[in-house]
Amino acid sequence: MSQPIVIFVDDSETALASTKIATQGLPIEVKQYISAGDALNDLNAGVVPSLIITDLNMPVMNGLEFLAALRQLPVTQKTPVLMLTTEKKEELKAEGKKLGLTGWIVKPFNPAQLKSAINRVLRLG
Amino acid sequence: MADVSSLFSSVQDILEHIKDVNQSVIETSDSAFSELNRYLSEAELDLPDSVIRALQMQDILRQQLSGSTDAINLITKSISQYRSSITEDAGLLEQSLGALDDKLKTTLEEAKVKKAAFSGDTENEDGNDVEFFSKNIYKGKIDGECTTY
Repeated sequence: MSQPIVIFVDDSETALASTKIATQGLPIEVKQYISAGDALNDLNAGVVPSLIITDLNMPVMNGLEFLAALRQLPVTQKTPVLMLTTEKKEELKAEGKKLGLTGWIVKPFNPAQLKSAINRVLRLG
Repeated sequence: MADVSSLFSSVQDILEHIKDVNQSVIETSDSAFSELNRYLSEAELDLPDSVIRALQMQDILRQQLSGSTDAINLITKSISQYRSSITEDAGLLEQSLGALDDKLKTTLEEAKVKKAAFSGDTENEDGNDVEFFSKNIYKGKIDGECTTY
């Protein structure tokens, strides 16, 4: 059986590298994108993720706009989405909740907590 | 009048220089961390959590510098508008100065908000708990099915 796909979207290569290093060893297939547009292109091309973890502050399309776009796609309408961001504002969290956001992680993340969150959502045991 | 315009021109030049320094620091740290991350990722080392947290600080530093560059762009734009208005009509000097002062104060407030937004929680060494918004977390579409639990 193939491993669940976890998508990471962040405009910072360093942030993507940190998540890649932090999730080494988990039974998941990691796909990383430097922009929401790139991720949407692959989703439209048939990639089926089990979890999407995205940054909020990104140029062109921010994390909340990306989330809204994901909810319009049949393949990701109910896919869990976690926001991984430096932002802590309750208004932004509320906006995310309205769009069906699953959860919120404040950067810099604790690797153990990130892995625990992925385990919890995917029930990797 | 020319002196005031010249003074603001110098301020703009200084701000542009600071912006260039910011950009240079961003590019240098991007390049250095990109190399470091590539090595660490390919080596598949079992890094301590504290090191992975430290690696993330470059992203936060980068965002902070970008935020200050955004503020500089707004300030130089406001100064340009001011210089343009006093060149066109010397009688507008006081009025324009007041408008510029208001814009600069607004820019400062926006920059402070951005600083807080881009800081994350660097003080909390243990990291934050992940905040889940619902007890029902959708598992996604593994094998074509959507599971709720």
